[in-house]
Amino acid sequence: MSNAQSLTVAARLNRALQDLMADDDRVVVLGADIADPYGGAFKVTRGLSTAFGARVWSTPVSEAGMVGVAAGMALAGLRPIVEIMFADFLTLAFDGLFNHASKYPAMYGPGAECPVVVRTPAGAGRGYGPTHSQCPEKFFLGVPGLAVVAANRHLDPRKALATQLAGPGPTLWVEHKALYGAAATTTSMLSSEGWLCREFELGGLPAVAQSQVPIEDCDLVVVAYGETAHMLESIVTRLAIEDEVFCALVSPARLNPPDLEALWDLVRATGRVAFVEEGPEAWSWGAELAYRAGRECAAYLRAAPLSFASRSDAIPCNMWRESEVVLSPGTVAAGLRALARHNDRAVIGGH
Amino acid sequence: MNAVAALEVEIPALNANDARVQVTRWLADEGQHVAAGTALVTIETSKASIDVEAPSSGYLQRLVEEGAHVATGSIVARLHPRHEDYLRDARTDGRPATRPADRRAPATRAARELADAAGVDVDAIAVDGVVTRRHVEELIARRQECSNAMPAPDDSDPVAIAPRQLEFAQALEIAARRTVAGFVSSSVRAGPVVEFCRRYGAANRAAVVPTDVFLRSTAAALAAFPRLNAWRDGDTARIYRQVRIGLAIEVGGNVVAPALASPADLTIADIARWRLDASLRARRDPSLPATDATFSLTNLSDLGVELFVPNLVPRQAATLGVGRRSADDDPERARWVLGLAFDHSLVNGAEAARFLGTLTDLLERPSWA
Repeated sequence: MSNAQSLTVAARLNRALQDLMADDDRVVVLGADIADPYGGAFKVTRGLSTAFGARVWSTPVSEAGMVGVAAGMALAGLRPIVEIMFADFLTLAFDGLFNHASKYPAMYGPGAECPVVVRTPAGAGRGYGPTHSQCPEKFFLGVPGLAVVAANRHLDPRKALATQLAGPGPTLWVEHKALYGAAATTTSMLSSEGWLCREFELGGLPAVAQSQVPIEDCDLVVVAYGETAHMLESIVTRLAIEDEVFCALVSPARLNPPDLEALWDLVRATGRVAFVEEGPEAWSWGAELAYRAGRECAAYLRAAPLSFASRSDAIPCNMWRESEVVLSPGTVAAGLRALARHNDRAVIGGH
Repeated sequence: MNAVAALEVEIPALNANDARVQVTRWLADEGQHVAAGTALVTIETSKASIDVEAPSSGYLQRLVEEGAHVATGSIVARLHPRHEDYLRDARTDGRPATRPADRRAPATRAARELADAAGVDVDAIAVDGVVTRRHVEELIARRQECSNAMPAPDDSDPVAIAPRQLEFAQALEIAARRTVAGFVSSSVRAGPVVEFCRRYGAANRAAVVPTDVFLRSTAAALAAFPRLNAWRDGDTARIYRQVRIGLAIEVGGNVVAPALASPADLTIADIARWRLDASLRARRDPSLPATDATFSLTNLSDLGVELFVPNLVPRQAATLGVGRRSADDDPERARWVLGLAFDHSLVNGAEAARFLGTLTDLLERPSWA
């Protein structure tokens, strides 16, 4: 998309919402403070209420209410996109997603599709404190029937949102706040910056593998989503240039349900894998995928799969103390460097 | 030398309303070393002015001017833990050297180091992705194969080259590639030094030769011209704290250059003793380790050489060659011919000439104890 040249991720999301609403009358948008002139806390919905009038609902401050209403709208045939102002507030809508929207298709059969998309900004780095900086998507990963998707720099949100709005069930769509101001990109732009890119699909949504040398020559695969993938770009580059440690950075959009066959092919080719996320450690996305990697790729692994995450603590407001809790680039770089040198298992399988 | 990563200072997003802020005032100077927590710069949003503090200590590299409007999240400064990295970065306008979009082909540090040492142009290697050390190794191997594959003309016989000589030549080649050498020459009446050696030798019962006087005089002259006793570390000149003169000695086809430390503190007799000892050691064991000299001296006057341009040695600013112009009809007119090659990034012609002038004076009036 040549228009991605000078767009931020937020602007590209905004344009995607405009296009979706223009193309499909069933798409409606709900959330607190999303109407113009304010246009949402992070401006992602700016211009929508002006263009689409009554299809944009500025709701009271009730996450349970807005998600419940959206679920009802979806049952009635609309295609609602709900904005929860901060991902931390998702907890107030948990029941509506966990016991209701995600279970309707299974409980009530055809005609009870409930394709609500719940969009929400997550993540730290702004000093917004313990209840405005979390990455809580991991708590939703295990909900049967609930798709979880993470936006990233290269994902085309218009296509991905359209896919999710086709249902049958609801989607939790997380956007890291730090991505909003970042430049949107495409694989051709990444290639012109010197990356070798391979596009494929994980769970029906695009994933990109980027590296400095062909993937078969990489020492390890590092998997991350959202802003964490963006942060890893500079770590991976530095490891390549300074240490000749070559990583294949894979950034999927689909987090749940996990469909990872294409990823395991890459892991088998390199023999080492690490998962990196900003959410708190233990019982995490990375912990689950590390288990799956061990199960699927056992014969090919040269080292145990690793998972990097933030410390499991309340996130402080103070910027320096925040960086002590939240995932540290330095720790990740050191961990990847050590992983690349790990060769403690005989490779029995081959290719 | 590895660069230690600089910390980038970002403009924080202070509220959800301002996409841009104005940089109103820098509170620390360019290049100043600041401690963590020091207020660096004042920025103004639509609501208020705040001071952005240094997230770590380091040397400040300012990237924007006062009055500039910048987007939140943009980087306005870098804090370099090491001064040499600040100097290097400040010269390249703050473009980080490892960004793949750099004009040069992206190559790993290991690849550049090997390419530099082998005389290969890393930018001429075309690959997908970054150039790695392995690519450079393969290119070197291919070139070696090409030259090996060409049949040698059958009009010559092989003879081994002393390994030290090849090694030394390789080191000289690197030095030559990296430096632009200047050369200045002067001549000195040979008589005074010859006469001094005779008198001093007799008085001290020591076998003293002009080379000993050259070593002492050169060291004395270097004391007054420290920039000739230096080396270049990237963009910085580093002055050696000690003078160590490497004297070129030829032993059975090998040239070794043992280094004499602080000749200015020694008597001529001591220097003569050291020279004899070094020659004997070199004869017994030509595989002496590489010299750590700070300056080099080669005396070819005994071999009938009048003037020659000595090669610059890596990590040295200058090197002196001594020849001799004899005048058979009048021995009084014999002259030493001094040739000084110097690294133009450290020393300019005028300074080199002044050094030679000082040395010339010392050699015309030798009075060493």
